[in-house]
Amino acid sequence: MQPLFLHPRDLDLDALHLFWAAPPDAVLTASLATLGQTTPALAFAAEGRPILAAGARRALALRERRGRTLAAVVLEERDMEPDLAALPQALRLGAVYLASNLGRTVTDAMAVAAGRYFVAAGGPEAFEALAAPRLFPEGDRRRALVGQWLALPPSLDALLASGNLPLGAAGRLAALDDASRQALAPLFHAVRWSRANLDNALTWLVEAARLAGEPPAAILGRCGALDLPGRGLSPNDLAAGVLAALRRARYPATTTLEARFASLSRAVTPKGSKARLSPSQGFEADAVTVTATARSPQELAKIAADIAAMAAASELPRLLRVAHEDDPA
Amino acid sequence: MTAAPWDITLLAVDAAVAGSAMALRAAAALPEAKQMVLAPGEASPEAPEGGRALHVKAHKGRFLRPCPATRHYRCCGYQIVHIGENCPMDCSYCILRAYFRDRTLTAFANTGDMFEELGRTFGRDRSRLFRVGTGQFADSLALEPITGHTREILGFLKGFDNVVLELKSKTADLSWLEADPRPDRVLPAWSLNAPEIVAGQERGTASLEARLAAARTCVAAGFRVCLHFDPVCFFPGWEAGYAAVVDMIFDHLRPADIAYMSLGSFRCLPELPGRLAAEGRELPLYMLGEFTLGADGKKRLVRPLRVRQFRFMAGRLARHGFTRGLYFCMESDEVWREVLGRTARDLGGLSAHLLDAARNRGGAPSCSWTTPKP
Ligand code: SF4
Repeated sequence: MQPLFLHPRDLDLDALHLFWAAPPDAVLTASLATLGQTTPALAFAAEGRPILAAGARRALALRERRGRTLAAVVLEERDMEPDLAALPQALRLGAVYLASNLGRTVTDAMAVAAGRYFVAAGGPEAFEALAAPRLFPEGDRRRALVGQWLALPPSLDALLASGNLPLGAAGRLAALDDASRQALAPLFHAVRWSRANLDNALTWLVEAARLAGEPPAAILGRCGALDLPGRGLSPNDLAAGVLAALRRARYPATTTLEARFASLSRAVTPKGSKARLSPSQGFEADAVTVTATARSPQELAKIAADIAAMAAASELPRLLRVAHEDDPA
Repeated sequence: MTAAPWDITLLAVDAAVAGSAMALRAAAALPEAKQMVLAPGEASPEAPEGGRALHVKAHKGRFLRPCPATRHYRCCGYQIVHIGENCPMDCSYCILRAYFRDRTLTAFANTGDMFEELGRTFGRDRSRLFRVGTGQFADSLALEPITGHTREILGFLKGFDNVVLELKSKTADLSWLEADPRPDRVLPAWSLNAPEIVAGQERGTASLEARLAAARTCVAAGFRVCLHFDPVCFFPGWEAGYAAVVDMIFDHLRPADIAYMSLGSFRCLPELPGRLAAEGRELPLYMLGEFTLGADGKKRLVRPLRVRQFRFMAGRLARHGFTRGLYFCMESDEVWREVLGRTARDLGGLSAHLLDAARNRGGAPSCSWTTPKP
């Protein structure tokens, strides 16, 4: 291995194989200022300028310090394992970069960024053979999920990095066609999706589309979910509203029953009452369940009076028959 | 693939019943199948060439059982004569998928034991009436050309005036007629469905045309028949599909030819869709209905949609003059009332009502409805 002193400005720090390169943080900048460079960067000799193989953050930080050079060692083929040395240059650079980052915590977005590089340089097999074993410990389920994610358009990677889309939804997202993913883009950008919520949302959308014999984009266009992001709702209300709109599209009869029941039970229940009405399981029976918790005789008396008022409410017969198809609310 | 009936490539017979009439009939009917006798405790091997195995064995438990209904829904009081297990046809909605793990067909050859038990039960009090059937854990007639099971049973039942046997099938097999049964004590029955469901969700079943033609043959021989719409499936275009099959019924039969007819909405154990997915099948559209978990732990279509379908069918049947003998399989009083304006209890109890309809031509006029609610 040969030591080299490179001028940071001569190096291509935007090279694709430096897929995790990020601006230096204050700790690194301060350490370089006080202690200087304690660990050499790695470089490959090349025609013209050497290629930086690892140490991009150090190089970036040193660019800000006039006259400072980057200490690097030059990796030569004879220093490497034969398998690594035999790789095409792009893959070798990627593998060395990953090896130099060994031990670093790899986020989902970082794993995908690495995956993109390897797939572009050598196809999905290169990701599986060279990157995945260096990224994930044996048995890590993220390996398969990243593999699925890599089949998605790269435009979704930023949503993974921002936390709007979870890696666990890779399979579900990959099962959508491009048009559906594009139609969903405003919702992907507006909501931070948990895996469970996204699973439900996509299941309802796709099933509603199958039932209607229409593309998911058509259902999405008319279910009202796309109108919600512009309304200034809180993140929780927005997510709940979008899910409710999609559920209505998938389960029109059930959600209509629920809405009817909610509105009639509001009309039947005295304001402020502790007595709660709930429908029979699945609206199978013409019955309601009344529940209440009393902590004193007075509370119980009040609940009893409320229940008596409920029994006399003019809307109660309609509430009891809420599941009758010929009794629209 | 072989040309064996139902692709049966292995006939495995337990040593205990190797000399039974059924085992001999099966051996003669399956000349190309690999045939073997299993020693006590020996498991049936895999069928060769990816075919099916028919396991002829002795049944150790009770032969006569009540239908596995629940107390939450109105049951028809049918009793099952257990003749075997599993079915060579393949319907995506079949409950047997939940009951049996493999494709092995089983037929119980110890008919002597069966007749002894049935004789004791049916003969104890001859004024007690029974409506029994063989189509619960198997199709009543799918294996009949091989096993001759039904013909044996029919011969035995000739001595019991108090028993009506319903033979429920999706085949068009009429070989059981050779037993020359009493037309007033046997009810051949067919399950019907919308043409889209038959074409897309049933494998190996006879066509609707063939089932109804078989029903007509039975009527010509003096029998009345039963028809079952179970499961009624909710899918886009169901109205046209069910209208077509209802109309088709009356191209073949008159209302009076039908002893009774059931409607049962699709219901399933919650794990059924997962099982289909595990078999690599796309989930049928009717399984994407709006389901709720019923009191029996099964998924069923949400009530207003069931009622909508039942009203549609009852109305269509009424237009053809079929205004009595319709009942619901496993439905609540609410649904009965909403569709027919009365409950099973108003009919004197479903079990008694159907027994009456099964035994008496013209059914029970005093407790039939006339006009379904629109
Ligand atoms: S014919 Fe009946 S028993 Fe056979 S698979 Fe179909 S539903 Fe099941």
